[in-house]
Order: sequence, then C-alpha cells, then structure tokens
Amino acid sequence: MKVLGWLRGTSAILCLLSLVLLLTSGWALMAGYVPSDAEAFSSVLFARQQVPGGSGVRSVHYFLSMSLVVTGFLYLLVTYLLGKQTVDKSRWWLALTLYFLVLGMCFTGYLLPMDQNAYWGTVVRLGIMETVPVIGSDLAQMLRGGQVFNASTLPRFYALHVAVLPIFCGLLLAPLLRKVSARLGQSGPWVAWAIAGVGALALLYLLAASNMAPLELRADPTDTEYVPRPEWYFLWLFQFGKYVESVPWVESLVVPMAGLTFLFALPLMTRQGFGARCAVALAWVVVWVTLTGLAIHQDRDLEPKLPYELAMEMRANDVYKDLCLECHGAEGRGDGARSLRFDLEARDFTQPEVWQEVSETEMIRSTRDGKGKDMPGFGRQLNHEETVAVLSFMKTNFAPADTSRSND
Amino acid sequence: MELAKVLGALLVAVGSIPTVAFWWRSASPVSQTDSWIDLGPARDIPEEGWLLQKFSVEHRNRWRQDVTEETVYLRRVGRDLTVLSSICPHARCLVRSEGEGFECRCHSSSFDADGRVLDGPAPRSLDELEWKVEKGRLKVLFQQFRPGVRDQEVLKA
Repeated sequence: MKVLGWLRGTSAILCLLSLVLLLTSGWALMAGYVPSDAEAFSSVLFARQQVPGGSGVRSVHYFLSMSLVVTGFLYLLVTYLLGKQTVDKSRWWLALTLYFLVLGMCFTGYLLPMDQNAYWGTVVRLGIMETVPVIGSDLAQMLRGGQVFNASTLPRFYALHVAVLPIFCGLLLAPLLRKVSARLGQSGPWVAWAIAGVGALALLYLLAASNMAPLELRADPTDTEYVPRPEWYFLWLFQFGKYVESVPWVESLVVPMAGLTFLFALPLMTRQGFGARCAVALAWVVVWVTLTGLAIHQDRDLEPKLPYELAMEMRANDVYKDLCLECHGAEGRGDGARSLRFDLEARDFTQPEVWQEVSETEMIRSTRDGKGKDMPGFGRQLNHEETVAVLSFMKTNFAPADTSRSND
Repeated sequence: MELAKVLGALLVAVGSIPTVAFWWRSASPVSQTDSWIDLGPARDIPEEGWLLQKFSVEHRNRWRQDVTEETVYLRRVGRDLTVLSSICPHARCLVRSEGEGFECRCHSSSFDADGRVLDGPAPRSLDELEWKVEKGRLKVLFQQFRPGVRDQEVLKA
C-alpha cells in the first residue's frame, strides 16, 4: 500500500513535469514549423537536419508525449487500486479529463510532421471515425474541414494541437498546480520525488540524445504500398476491430464509450472492494497485453518503416544507378561506359577539388538544369529532396575522406 | 457571486457560437476546377490487367488554389474501359493490385478482378468511376465516395 501511495505521488509529479516540459519544447518546435500542406514536412526536415538542437527538441517533445501517456495511465491505475477515486471524486474526473485531452493532443500532433505515417494514419483514423453512427461523418468533416483530406485539414489540427487543447489543459491544471505548490512546504517524500524527477529528466534527455523521434518519407497520397498502423498504445483497439469488422461502430463507438462511461462512473462505485479493483485492473492488463501482442504478432511480416535518412539513401542509390552511373561510372570517376564510348565530359567525383570548389547550390543547379553540352538536366525526373540525397550519396561514397567544402 | 459566474459562463458560451459554427459548418475551401480529368490518349493504356494511374487534380475557390495528387486503376479491353477508384470503401486506405484483384493492407479487405468485395471489412465493392473518350483522350469523372457505408454516396470536395 505504501509503495502504491508513493507510486501515485511520483507519477502525478512526473505527469505535471511532462506537461510543463511538453509546453516549453512545443514552443521551440512552433518557432520552426510551418503549418501548411506544402511546407510542413520540409520545415520539420529542416529543423531535424539543419538546425542545431532541432532534432533534440523534437525528440524530447516526442518522448515526453509517450511518457505522459504511460505515467498518466499509471497514475489513474494506482489511484483506482487505492480506491482514492471515491474519496476525491473531482480530482479523479479532473485527471481523467486531462488524460483524454492529452490523448487528443497525441491525435492532433500525430499529423503535424506530414510524413507518410502522419498522413495515412490520420486519413484512416478519420475514416474510422466516420463509421460512428449519426455524428461520425459530421465530426470527421469538422476536424478535416471538408469531406476529404484537404488544404485546411493541417491548419485545423495545428490549431487544436497548439492552442485549443493545451489551453483547456492549462485551465484545468491551474488549480491543481496551485494546490501542489501550496503543499510544497509541507511534509511529504519531497526529496524522493525530487530525485525521481531529476532521474526521469536525465533518462528523457539520454533517450532523446540517442534516439531521434521518428520521421518517415514525405507524405505521398498516391502511394498504394504504405500500410499505416496506430501508435502502440492503440494497437489493442485496432486488433479488437478485426474481430468486429462487420459492425465497425462497435470498435469506433461502443468500446470507447463503454470505457469512458466506466472510467467516469468509477467514483460512484463505492462498494467495489480492493480485491474486485485488483481483478478489474488485472483483467484489463491481460486484455491489453493479449490484443497488443496479437496485433504485433500478426504484423510480423510487414516491412519495417524506415526513417527518412535511410529511405532516402536507398532511393539515392537507385537514382544513381538509373540516371548517373552510365556516365559517371560505378566509382564516380567519370568513367561510365557511355562517357567513354562517346568521349563525354563527365566529372570525376573522387577529385577533392570538386567538393572543395563547387558549392552544393551549384551542384543542385547542375543536376536540375544540366551543365555544359554533355550533362543533361534531371529536374523532371528528380524532386529537390532526391537531388540533395543523390548528391550526399555521391559525397559519402566518392569524395576523398578529408574533403571539406570551402564555400558551403 | 454564483449569479455572476453563471452570467459569465453564459456570455462566453454565446460569444463562442461563431467559433463553433465556423468549425462545424465551414466545409473545404476548395472545389475541383474540372470534374472531368484528362488522362491522356486512351490508346496508350496497355491491355494488360490493372494499371495504376496517377494524376493531379486542381481545386480552386476564388482566392485559394490547391493541387492534390490522386490515383485510379484503369483496365482496357479493346475499346472498353473500366475505371476504379483506388480508395478502399472501408476507411480510405489505398488498395493495391494483388494478383488478379485488389487488396487493402490496412484492414485486410480483398477484392476480385472486377473490384467486387470478397472479404474483410469493406462494406461495398471498389467504386467505379464514369469515363468518356473525347477526341481519343480518356476523361474520367473524378469523384470520391463516403467510406464505411453500403451505398455509394458522392462526396463534395
């Protein structure tokens, strides 16, 4: 019991800490983000690759949101096990509401990077939402700003993510924070909590420093190969949906509503003993683990989702083979079969001068528009991202080891 | 004090009606410029099963212009064509052509060689799109339909 009590306090503290840090890291992300169909992905990519600390801040935001989903759940679970929800009803309702606001922010934040995962995940979730009888399609239309995904969808998700939901969250949090700060002077395991907080923070920064928040390729609305999957904490519902596929509203409406009603009604179930509460919690954990495990198991043959850099590297490899190799050669020496046969002028990329004297901008321009009489332009076959990727592929593979560009 | 609170809440609620109305009622700001999309010479479509055709659709509403990338499946047998929407009628994933027919890998719906639903949660078959050939060029009436329902219901962009 004592352990549970300590766990409850600690998870509450960690939740508050996460919420505050999510807010501040969010401010940093907002400063570099452009919420439009055309610009969103590029701005995220730019922050990830070009801005010092940009990738770190995004990772911190990402892992904080994960940890908030987990610690929030832990807080609710322990509170329920301790039976505290019947003692302080309003606190329980407040915590629940906050938790669902957090899930709402996860849902809306999911779309913002506008990579494959973001786009397809959101399209499908809104599609599932439409199966809710009566209000489903209106609700999806309201979120989307139309009946199909369109240019006003992203701004709406952005508005919800950075203004509407966090402000509601803040309004609900304010009295709670005041209570906590009033208690700061009183007795309590504050030292232990402080250690837990510092430890959690250290863990978070370690995690963010060693793992980048995922980012896949730019959203491609014409890609028939991409298979979106929900976040791991919603896999159970996805798996459950497979068993009721002929009545989709059971998944999209009945189960979520039953869960919500149960959670909000808990403070009124005063007769539930400790044993019964343990049984309910255990049953839920078993159901969750089973369904999640099944979902993961059944997806074992799915191709892994590649991070942007790796996927682009593979594409650059293909592009080089398809378009560049016949003139520039397999080793980048400018000795491809075609240039030898027709005596074409093809650059030798193993020469350090190339990388020292020609700026990246210039190289991008030559690749796009062509150069001299022998280098054709590939602007029609390659988009900007592919051009940059193939250039960095050539630099990695052909440039002599210690070449640094002088006029980058 | 209580009265002041109630009044305040009431004022905020009434004052927020325009916000709610905007979110609720304002539909997509863009509508398709041409409903018939030109997909090039009809003769160029190979007579070999389903072809995934990608194309751009321009949407415009006075001040705003927006281009979306869309796909359809085409099949040509002599002079006869079939144009199928690539969007799964269950939850809007794109189906991919698999063997003779189609498969949606999001929730495992499968469709036969004519797009009829075989298995899975899809409530209806793949949506067939109207087409015509004008001066040798294939034009397709590009539309989207409400997902998750048995009957075909056209969505307005």
